Amino acid sequence: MGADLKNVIVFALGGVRHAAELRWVREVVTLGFVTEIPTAPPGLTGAFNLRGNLVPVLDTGVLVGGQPGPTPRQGDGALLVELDGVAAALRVDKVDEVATLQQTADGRAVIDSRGRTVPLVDPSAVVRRAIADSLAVRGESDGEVASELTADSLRPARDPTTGAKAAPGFDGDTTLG
Amino acid sequence: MVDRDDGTAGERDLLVDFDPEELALLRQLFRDEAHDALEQVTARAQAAGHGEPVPEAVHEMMRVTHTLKGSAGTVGLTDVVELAHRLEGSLAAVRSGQRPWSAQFADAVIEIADGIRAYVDAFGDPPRAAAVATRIHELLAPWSEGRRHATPAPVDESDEQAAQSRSILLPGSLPPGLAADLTSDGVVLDEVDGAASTSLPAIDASTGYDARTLLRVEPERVDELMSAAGELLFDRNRIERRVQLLRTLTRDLGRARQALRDDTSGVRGATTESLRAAIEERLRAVETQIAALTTQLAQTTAALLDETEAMRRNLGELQRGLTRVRMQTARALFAQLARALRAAARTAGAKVELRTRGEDTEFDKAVAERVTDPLIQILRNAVVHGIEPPTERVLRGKAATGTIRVHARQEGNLVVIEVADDGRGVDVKKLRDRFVESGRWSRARAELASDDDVLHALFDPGVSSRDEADEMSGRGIGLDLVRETIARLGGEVRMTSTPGRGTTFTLRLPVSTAVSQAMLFKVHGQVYALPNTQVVDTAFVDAGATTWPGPGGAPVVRLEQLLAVPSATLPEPPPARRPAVVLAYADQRLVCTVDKLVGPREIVVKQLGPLLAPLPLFAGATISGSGKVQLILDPAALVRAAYPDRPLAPAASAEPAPEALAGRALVVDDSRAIREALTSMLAREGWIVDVAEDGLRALALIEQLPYDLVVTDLEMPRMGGFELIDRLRAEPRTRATPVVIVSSRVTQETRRRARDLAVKGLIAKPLTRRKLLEVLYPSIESSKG
Repeated sequence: MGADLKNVIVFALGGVRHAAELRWVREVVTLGFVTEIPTAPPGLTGAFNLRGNLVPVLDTGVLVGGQPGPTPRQGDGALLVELDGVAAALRVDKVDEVATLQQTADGRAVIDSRGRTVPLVDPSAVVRRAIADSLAVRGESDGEVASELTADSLRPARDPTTGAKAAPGFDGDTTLG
Repeated sequence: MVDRDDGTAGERDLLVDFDPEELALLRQLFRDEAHDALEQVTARAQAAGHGEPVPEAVHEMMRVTHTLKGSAGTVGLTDVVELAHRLEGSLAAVRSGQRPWSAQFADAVIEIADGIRAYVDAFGDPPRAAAVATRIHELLAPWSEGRRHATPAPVDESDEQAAQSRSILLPGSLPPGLAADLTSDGVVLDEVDGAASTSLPAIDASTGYDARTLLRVEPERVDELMSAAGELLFDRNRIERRVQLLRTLTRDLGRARQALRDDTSGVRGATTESLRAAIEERLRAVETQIAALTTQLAQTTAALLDETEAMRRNLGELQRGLTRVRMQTARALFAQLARALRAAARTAGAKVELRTRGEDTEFDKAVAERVTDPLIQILRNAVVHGIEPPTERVLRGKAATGTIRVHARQEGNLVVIEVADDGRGVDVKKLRDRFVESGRWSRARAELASDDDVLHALFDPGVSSRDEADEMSGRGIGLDLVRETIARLGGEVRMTSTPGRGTTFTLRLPVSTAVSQAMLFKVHGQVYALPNTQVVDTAFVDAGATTWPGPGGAPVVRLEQLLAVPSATLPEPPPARRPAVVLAYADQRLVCTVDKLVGPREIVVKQLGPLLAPLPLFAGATISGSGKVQLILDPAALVRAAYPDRPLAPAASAEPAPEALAGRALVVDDSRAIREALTSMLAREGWIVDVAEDGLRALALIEQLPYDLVVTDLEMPRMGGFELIDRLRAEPRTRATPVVIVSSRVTQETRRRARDLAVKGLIAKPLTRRKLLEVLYPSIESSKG
């Protein structure tokens, strides 16, 4: 029984309820003034000052492969998550509850007290994905910043997770045998 | 069995594999790991024969030592490779039964482990490290394989050794036999060169500290901070009392007013003379009362202003105090430079001595760390290209040994570091001709250029091409990177040279990077900053202009386009003339149009963190007085944008940027140093890299994401590499995923198993970029390594 119970925080995002495991969430914060970041990939919507620290604001919708959310504004709610010392704020529409809920068999969702299925979001994967997207901007834009001074050219042209090129051939083997 | 021939990557190769900053970080990670590993060795040596059977303990010690050796080689600490290798050899002799485990041997192992730890800690302090290495070799000598049949040292002798290790040993006091022994053991005695006066400190692991991660603060400085904080408390109390008084005065004023009102209503309709007199008297009384209150109010307000001013002063004191806490003297930096110079001189076979002055000059630890690598680059250039061979020097009437002087001093808010060599200098005339011949400059430009212009063209990217470098006594190598690093710190570098007499570099750096001067401006309603060191002017530019007609002309970069944000709307109609910031960087000018100039400000610089740092346009951020995040633009990136055909090499891309993403790779290793090293190497080839510390964590990641490549260690806690590969091969989804093994233990059995599991490549630690590329891209002949 205990093995498939999860301590989660349930929140609304784009009209859909999601849940995130509590262990990733350091606190629920109210966003201060959000500075927009030109040239940033779509999942990285801004940065704000939290007690003197610069905290990036992420668009959870984009980063889990869904719809982009509204531009984050001062006063919006967000989950402050931390992964290997990297803090980021995941903007949410509304925080519903903190609860211990039953996980579904496939582990991709939890069942809330009224028997509804609430999909699980993995904040660590969201942050990791955001870092990868950000790195992809650097990897692909070096030449383009120089040639075309438009922000659009700085967007990653390719989805780094799914659109990556195939790995190089490994046919020859110089070290074995 | 260790094949050291391919293992000892020199510093030079390492700098091909890693950025200097990265290498420093890897070494820091290695230090932490070495501490853990050596503690394990110590614990096993103590337990062997008591709590733990000897063979198991020896096996474990060998395993840990072996791993340590692999990591040390990867980060280029070849002396540690050597020392660990010899310790492993001594342990092997016990394991094979050639020598019994004895209490003396256990003591020696513990002392050697302490010694290696001390060496790792002392790495940035060459004389001390060399001394420690000497001592370890001395400890190892009785147990090394060559003497395995020698009678173990009697107990009292070993006690004497232990006693010696707590005392100071002067090099001059070494018996001739032992000195010869040390030399034959591969200890380079010139590491402690000129050190007849330098005492050879004994190994004392407890004094080791990590100079890079810890901040050493003198107690007096903490006392100063405490005292400033205490003053602030007093200020607060005083201000609170004044505010209390203000409240009382306000209340009294209110009462006076009420009394006046009561009196007024009481006398309404009264007309008699006597009453008038009474009223006048009453009014005078109230007036007197109000006058007194007004005086008190004025006094209190003045006092409050004084106290606020005092608090402001004390806050400033506290801030300055905190800045001073981050200060360190140039001493540690000079020690690092001395070591780098010796290494460079040895490699080049040159005779050079370093003379330093201004050891007590203080600057921010962050500045000191970031300026180290550019300085080392300048020293290397001087050794390789500036200092003539001894015979040539003597012919020119110079001392056979070249001299490089490094002087540090403070000038106001700047630290000035001068690096001057007495080598052959730069022949400006020849260099000018060379620029024309190579097509870099037109004849006209070359003739117009002053000597200073020609010298400073050496900081341009691309001047490092070999023929030019040779022709002009090679001053070009990496100077563009030097300038870029210094500029990022908010400083500048100048160069002067006299043919036949030598070359001098002058670096001017801010004392601290935490606070810097910046020009602030608005674009699309957001405030941005540019470091003031690169801002030379402000101007107005016609809306349609692509070049600026000001002195020298300059391309116009439209920041309102470059910094477009989703919520941005361009003003309708756009103004005919826009304000602009004129930037000078790398001898290039450019003009950045903005929406509105805010003006120069002092800002506190914050790091961007892993999410924002990869974005090319930004160098940092600051937080405004009202608490908003403001981005600091990177002048180098803007110049790159403005001069697309003259790309400036950023520090991290000494070679072409990867053409496209190569795929997603997973690095699995329990050593963080190795994980970071592999991540860096793969990222440069265009891979997106995730990391896992063991096989179990790797499996969890692989379940979530498809990987195009897995690079794994073999020996790891929880789940080793072979088990991980077994599991991958059992899953249809990952059956064909290319796997590369990086291990410190490559045996015939390992090779056989790897082949059975269709492993695509096997790399023996120490890991180098060349080895990795050879496995990853076997068909491409590696020209980058």
